Amino acid sequence: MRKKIDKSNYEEWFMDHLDGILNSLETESLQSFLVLNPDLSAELESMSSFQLHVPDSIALSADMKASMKKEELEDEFIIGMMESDNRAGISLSSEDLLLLYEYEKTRLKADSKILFPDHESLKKNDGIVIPLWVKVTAAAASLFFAFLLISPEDVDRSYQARGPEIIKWNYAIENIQKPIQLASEEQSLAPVQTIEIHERPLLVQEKVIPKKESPPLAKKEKDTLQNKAPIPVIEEEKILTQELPEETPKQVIEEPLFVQENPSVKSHPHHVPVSSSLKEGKTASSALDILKKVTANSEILAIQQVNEGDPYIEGFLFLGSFSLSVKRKRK
Amino acid sequence: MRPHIESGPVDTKSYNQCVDLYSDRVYRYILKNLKDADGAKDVVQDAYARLWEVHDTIDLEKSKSWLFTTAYRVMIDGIRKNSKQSPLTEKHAEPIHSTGYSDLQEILNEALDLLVPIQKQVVLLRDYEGYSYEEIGEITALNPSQVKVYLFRARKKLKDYLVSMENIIG
Repeated sequence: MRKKIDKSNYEEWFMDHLDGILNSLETESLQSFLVLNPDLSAELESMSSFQLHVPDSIALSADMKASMKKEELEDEFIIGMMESDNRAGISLSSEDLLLLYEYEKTRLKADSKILFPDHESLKKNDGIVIPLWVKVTAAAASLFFAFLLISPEDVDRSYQARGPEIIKWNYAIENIQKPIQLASEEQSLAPVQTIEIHERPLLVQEKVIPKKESPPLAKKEKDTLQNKAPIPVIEEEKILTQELPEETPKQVIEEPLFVQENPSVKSHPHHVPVSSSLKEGKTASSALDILKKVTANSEILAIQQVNEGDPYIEGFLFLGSFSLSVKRKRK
Repeated sequence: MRPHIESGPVDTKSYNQCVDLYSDRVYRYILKNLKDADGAKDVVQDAYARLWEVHDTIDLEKSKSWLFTTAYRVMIDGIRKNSKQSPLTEKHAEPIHSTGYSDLQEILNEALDLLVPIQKQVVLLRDYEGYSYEEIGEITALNPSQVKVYLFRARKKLKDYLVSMENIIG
């Protein structure tokens, strides 16, 4: 005789009801119990709605199933179970559970230790892209600038023919937006611009060869040199007085300066002012003005080279990937 | 859990976000297939370069799927160009009875190499990324029914391999 239904054993009654094995008396007892316990009635309803099937989205097609053997069909069911996102309420036989367990083991797990080696190489910057036409225009403006600065008699056509020498580099930059300071002796000629610029870390260094020691200087000369200010202004240097051997390699220490267009760049505590320069007035200013307009925010790099014993000063202007050089006689 | 990403066009910021979110995943997926770190890196770089080319026309929500699809196609093109590899032919290799397995995943990775490449793709996309059949179909240019069949066969092969290995190892 079955024990009377109550809250301690109602699940067993529910299962038997769902399996259809309750007799008529037991079914009446169950229904009476459900009337008294409507919350459990809802539970029974939800249990009744369980469907033992694999969702269509997961199951194989009927054609595919038709061609399968019985064991394969069992597997298909279990694989469908495994792939289904919603398995709630599905009960499986112990055999099916074992099979499901076997299939669950086939789930692959990604190895999170494997990482793409260089994320940064894939990323993009938000930087301003300078269109090609601007670069081309800048190059043209650079050439224009060069022609304005060079007077025909300044051009040293024998430059390439000179022998080996030690070259010392100094730097100069001009910028028309900097407040203008007029040199007293040139006030009547043209406005003169001065800008303080700052050295930035070495960019390119080719063939750096230790300097050969200069011959001992007379004490007076030494004192004079020590008392000189660190670097600045472009000037001729007369350190090298003796002849160098013919095969002395050319020493080039290139320390280009990075000059932003914005002349209000603050001096950096670690950067040492390198030099200031005085440039001739209107013509150069106009050229720079044009240059400035076409180059927008691009970098302008200008350096000026003083060659020992050379009556010429060579200036270089770099604009993006373009560069030009200018030679002038020293005054 | 899938990372949440908002919809809208891919701009520089969200493109870089895609790099952070998906580059490792795409790389793992391709590396698992190619078994060549340099080759996988190239494929990922190529996929991202292509994404950048069309970034303003792609919805951010679709970017992950787009990346996987593109990486998959780049990889398949690369494999096809390389005559030494044959992506569409089944390997009939016998199970490799190595010793000293450290864990189940190691055996499973070995079993993975015995699958037909397309079965392998489907399983990897399903298990690594949790893609639905429809999504896998979009990436691999299959219809959902084909994906189901490939996945079914792949699972069965993997299971049989694992059972056989368990029998051998005892």
